[in-house]
Amino acid sequence: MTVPHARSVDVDDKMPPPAPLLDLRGISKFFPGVKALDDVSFDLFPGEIHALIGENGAGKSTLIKIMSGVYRADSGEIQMNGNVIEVANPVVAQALGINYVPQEIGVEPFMTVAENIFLGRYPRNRLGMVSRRMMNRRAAETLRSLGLDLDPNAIAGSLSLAEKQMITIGRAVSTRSKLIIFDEATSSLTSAETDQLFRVIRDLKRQGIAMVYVTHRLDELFNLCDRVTILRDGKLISMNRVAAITLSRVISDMVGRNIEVHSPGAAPHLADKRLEVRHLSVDGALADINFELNGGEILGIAGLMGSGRTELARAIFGDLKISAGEIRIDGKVIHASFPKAAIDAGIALVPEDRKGEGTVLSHSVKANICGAVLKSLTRGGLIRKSLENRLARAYTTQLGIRTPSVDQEVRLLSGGNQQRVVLGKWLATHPRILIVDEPTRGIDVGAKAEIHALLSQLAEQGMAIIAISSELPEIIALSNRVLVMYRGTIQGELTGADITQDRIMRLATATQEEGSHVEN
Amino acid sequence: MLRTSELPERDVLEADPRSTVATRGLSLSGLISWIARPAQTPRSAKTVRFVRKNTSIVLLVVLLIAGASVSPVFFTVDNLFNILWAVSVLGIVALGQCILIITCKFDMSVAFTVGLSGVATITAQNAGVGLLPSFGIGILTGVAIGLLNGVIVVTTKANPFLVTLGSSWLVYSIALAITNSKTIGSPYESFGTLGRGRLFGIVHYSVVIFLVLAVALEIVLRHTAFGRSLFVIGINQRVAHLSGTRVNRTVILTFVACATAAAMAGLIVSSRNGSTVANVGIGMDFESIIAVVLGGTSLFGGRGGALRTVVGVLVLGVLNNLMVLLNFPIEAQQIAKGSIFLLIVWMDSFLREDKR
Amino acid sequence: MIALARALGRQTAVIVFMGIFLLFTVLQGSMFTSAINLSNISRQVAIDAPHVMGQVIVLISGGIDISVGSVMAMSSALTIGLQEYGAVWAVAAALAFGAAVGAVNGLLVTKGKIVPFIATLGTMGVVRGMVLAYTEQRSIPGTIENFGFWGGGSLGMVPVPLVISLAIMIALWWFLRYTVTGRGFFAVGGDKETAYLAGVSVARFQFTAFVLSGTLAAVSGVLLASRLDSANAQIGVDTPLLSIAAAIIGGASILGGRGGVIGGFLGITSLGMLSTGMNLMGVNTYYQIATRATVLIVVVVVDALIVNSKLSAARLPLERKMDEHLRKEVVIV
Repeated sequence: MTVPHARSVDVDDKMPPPAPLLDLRGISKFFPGVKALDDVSFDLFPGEIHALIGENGAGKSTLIKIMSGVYRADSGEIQMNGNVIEVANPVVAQALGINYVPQEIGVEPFMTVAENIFLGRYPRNRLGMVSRRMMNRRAAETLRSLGLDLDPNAIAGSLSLAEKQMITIGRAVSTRSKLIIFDEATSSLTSAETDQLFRVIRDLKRQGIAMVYVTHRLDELFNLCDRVTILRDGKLISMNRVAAITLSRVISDMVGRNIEVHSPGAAPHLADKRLEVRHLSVDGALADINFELNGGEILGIAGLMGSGRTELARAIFGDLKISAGEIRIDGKVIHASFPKAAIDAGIALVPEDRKGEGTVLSHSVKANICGAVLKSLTRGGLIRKSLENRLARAYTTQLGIRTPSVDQEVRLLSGGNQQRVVLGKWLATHPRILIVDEPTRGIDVGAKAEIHALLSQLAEQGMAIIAISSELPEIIALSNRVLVMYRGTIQGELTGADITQDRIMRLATATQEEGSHVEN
Repeated sequence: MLRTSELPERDVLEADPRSTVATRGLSLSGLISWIARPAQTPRSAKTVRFVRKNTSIVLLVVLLIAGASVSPVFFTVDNLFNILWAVSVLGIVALGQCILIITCKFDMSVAFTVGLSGVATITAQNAGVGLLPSFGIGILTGVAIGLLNGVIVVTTKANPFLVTLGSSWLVYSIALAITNSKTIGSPYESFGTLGRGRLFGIVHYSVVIFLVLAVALEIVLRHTAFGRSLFVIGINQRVAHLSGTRVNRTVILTFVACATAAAMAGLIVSSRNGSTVANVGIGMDFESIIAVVLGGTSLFGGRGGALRTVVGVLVLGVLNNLMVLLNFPIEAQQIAKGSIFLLIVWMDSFLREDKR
Repeated sequence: MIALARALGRQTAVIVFMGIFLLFTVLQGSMFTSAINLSNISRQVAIDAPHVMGQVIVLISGGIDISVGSVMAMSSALTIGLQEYGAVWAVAAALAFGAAVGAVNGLLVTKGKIVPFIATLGTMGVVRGMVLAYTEQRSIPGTIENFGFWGGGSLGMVPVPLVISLAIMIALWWFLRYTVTGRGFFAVGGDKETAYLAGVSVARFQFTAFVLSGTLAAVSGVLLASRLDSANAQIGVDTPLLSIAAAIIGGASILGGRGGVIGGFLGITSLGMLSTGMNLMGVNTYYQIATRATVLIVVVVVDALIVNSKLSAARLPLERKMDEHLRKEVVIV
């Protein structure tokens, strides 16, 4: 794909164009089973805010981790100010003036705010001793510029997520950087805090610092950034000046085709009251949840990060302690205080984190698929290999798992196939209710559609499904009904034509006015 | 190259259908085709598995050959049986430790559990309890210690190594208190049959027990749902929990199994001399871990087996025997064992493919 | 809540110290508080203090060092065994040995990617073997006159080793609190990911922590050799457990990121008072061992409970660490 290599820095047209600060050429990166980046090029000028956009799994994280030294590229080269450099690790990156604000919000829990901001670079007095006074003073300055009212001596571990995020931002902006990478830096911030952050970023821009800005929020892209690079499936799709591109072009570049997302409408064969949840509460996470689920329907659960969706799934599955309320399956009350009881009652949960919680990566496809039902494959206490093989092969075929053999290590499969293995594992338990949490996270678009089709098929065959997702198009495409959660409560239920991104976002952010986010 | 029977290799968790050596087993053509195979990168899955599976066996063979060449006494039936007899006690302890290590935990109290079970048994005998019931008391000691360890580790999630180190002192103090730091002797003549007697006059009972336990454990580990769940707990406790395993219950059970194995070993040891002392098992905590690691069970959990542990124990036994025959000082043995331990652990870590 | 945990860490040591002191003062009166008794206690404590402080540093950086006992024994043996070359060289060799073992541990952990607990378990075994070989399982007697001054002597009523250990303690306290390197240990132990991404060289700090621990264990060994004027192979068998318990009483945690040398000092003093107090009371040896074991288990368990409970650090970073612990990205200590 040829890309117009536009320059976006605001300079006098008569002056010669400045050289890029950072120039990545032909970067490729492989992980077992997947090519995360395929010959990607990217450049960055001083004083520019360059957005990096793409769906989950497009390669944005990988690219910036290569820039900041966390990963090493398998091929390609990086130039800084015209010199070829190798960012071997974060220490080198720091020395080069590259600062990274990671997506995973990390602070030193036992250190103070000031110590966190100056992690590893504590201000020292004339004697060379770490000076707490200087550190606190400068920390206060940084906090002020970020609009934060925090005591520099406060212990970082006890702060809210948003405050922690601001501290990690503070860490990056308080050094002499040449380049700062913001990875979903506003994920936990309110709009007021986001505005403040933008003020700081524009100030840094004036100082000539180059910035890479990764975000999912397309309005931020148009508000803040000069250029935008869009990745999809590890490849560079386009790079343009923001002023020269439209929203629909951005979306179509991200997604690859014009997607008209339709909700499937009400479920045709509404059967029984398969699942009833009444007044369900979990200390500190959920408050008074009430809903029903019938066989044959897919209930979508939407909401922002931290709204309690996963906690709801875990509570039903017996993985989280319920403080009040009851759960009924087919009319009978269920007390599941650990997953085994839930599984016996007919509940299955495909967890959010398929690598960390859904599969044993170093085990085979066969071992994983049979993982929850081993007891049923035994005769006289001993596992029958023939039964195992039969079960594994059956689900491999039925779910279309692409693997050389059922003995292949799951680690070596692609994300989509790994997810199918997890599905197979849970379908083998013959559940009455299937809960899927982020069913297609990190999976390429083609496989996404296939998994959606699978889920719809299961529903048609009578399965009751709860689908939790942060991806609104996915929720809309899958669900017959949608519950929207906010801070541990159900804000509302949407059916039929009411299921739109706009309405979902409004409920998810508990805002009254018209949706402030991009509409399709 | 000698290979052991097919049992440890044909399991779901590690089977690689492409491995020609595994499927062809012991055959010259298989060996040749393996050698003639194009070179692969050191980290490729096949080579990794081959090396890891066979290190201990290779080591054993090397040591056996070395022994035979160095001393004419070595390769006699008597000597080999002797080795087996000598290692069977440690072997039983190692089998118990193996169960725990698969779940990625350790039991440092086995050494003194060995002592306390013998002490309890003989004390009971001296108090008038019959021979067989006294065995029951010895075993129960193990069960109790295992329960203590397991419950503490599971409810507090404290580091098992430190907890069992602490409980080992407790156990030791109890054994010392009961025996008043002296040796105590059994009143029953027939007590010695367990440790010294032979089945059909040929194979020692202790060896039979050791091997039977090993085979039984191997079957449990490879072919039962419970056994499989241990491996999963060792790799990723969270996944085990979410897959329906009652993790807490299982972990407590493994601690009980380990301590009971140690108790059994304690019975055998005390029966050999007809007497015992509180610290008879000293050093067995570290030794059993070395044996398990030598056999190829990974200290990171999730890999291993009972038969491998047998091989590891045999390696230690042969090593000991060789050193005795060659008049090597005991201290050198310690250093050698510790160094081999580190070497194996380093290799284990190096060859792990799922590390960062 | 986490501020409470941090404060609690600092205060625990003081509370425990005061508690035990008062207990035995009440039970034993002047026999316990007599100058001679206190002097004895402080002498033994002072000999153990260096390895405890080494353990504190390793724990702060997120590791654990089980080889301290063996290192202490070997450095004791070297100090005595090499006396024919003069006291200075003997001590230097002993300290160098400690540092070398520490370096090996450091390499095993950083380059070998072996978990600290297992790496130091291995070196513990190997070094213990060296001790057995070197001492030939006998006790070696010291030959230099006045060497006993450092471990056995006194300045007035104050035992010499106490002075040395207090000096080391103050130096380390200052180092940990006021130097960038010192703070680095806390960073690495508190949240390794965050430290790594912030450009802190995690490997360098882990390595340095082990070298320090090895060297300090050697210091303890030298002091002990001086006190006993001999060395034997039984030294240091209890030491690993002792130093970990003392460190945890002093506010350190298995999970890292916390702790202090002053707390560690108070911790080992508390344990020392416990031992001596029980001795004075004529408590049965067996009960003493049992009591120590129970104290250790309680300390470890309480630490685990604090780490796990809501009282401890806020959920996200620690949750990640704990979950990783269960997911085996960060293997057990």
